[in-house]
Amino acid sequence: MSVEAEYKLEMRADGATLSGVMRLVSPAAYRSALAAVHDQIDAATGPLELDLAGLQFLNSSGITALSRLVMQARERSVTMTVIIDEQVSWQKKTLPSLARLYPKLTLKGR
Amino acid sequence: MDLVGQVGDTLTPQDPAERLSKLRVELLPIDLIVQWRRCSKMADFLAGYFEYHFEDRPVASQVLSTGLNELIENLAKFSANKQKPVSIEINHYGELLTVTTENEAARPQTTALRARLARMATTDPEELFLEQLEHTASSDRAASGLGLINLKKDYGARLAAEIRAVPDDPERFVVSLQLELNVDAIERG
Repeated sequence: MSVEAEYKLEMRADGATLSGVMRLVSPAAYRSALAAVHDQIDAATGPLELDLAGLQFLNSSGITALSRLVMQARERSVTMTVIIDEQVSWQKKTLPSLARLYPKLTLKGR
Repeated sequence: MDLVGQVGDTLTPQDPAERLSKLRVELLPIDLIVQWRRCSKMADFLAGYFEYHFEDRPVASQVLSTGLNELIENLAKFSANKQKPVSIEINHYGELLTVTTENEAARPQTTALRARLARMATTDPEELFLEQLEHTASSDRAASGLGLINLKKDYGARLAAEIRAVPDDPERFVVSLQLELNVDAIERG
């Protein structure tokens, strides 16, 4: 199966930035793509920031993958801020629902 | 369990004479499986085709692409015979946009879809959304039906399916999934 990378993941000391279009085939594909973020949450000693403002499209497998990051942060009690762009429809609509999974997750508009 | 029949929300009957626009596409699921990016390309193309009916075209295109991508991915994943054509048809009736997908699915997938649509018709979509995510937290399974739940939750979509038997094959069913969206929900983004 051929998959062109249309998204970009940039890691930072205090978080990560995800941008582009992410419509991967399955949760397993996302687990592999987001492995570095999972590792960062596992190793976190302070709050993390996940910048999704530049992510134009995310499919439902991606939303499942995001929820797993949130639940992992919840398990480890890592405070998380998610940067969003309220002009991007899926971010405006779906991310507030995701935030209900974890009280220490805050959404912040760019 | 008899799977044949209608399930899901009650949809508004449409008069073909009032249709403003229509596009129907037929494709082979195998083409999507071997090049997954085609799902996104097709969603973007269909969204771009219909964006001209809306005042804010970029917003409409974004909303339509998001919804259509979910339906197209489902066609790729849940069609029993990947070499058998599936179809997507979009109709614009002024205040309503309807999307109908049709494919042949195996009994287990048809049973699951039927149960999901029946539940979605009677349960708050926000609660269903969170329940699905919590339920699949620890596996590599996709949160089942999350794409369809999201369409209801985020855009007020109405969803129904008509399920028909395949002649001479009791384990296969023709599934016609119908989605109805209000134009103003798309405009609001």
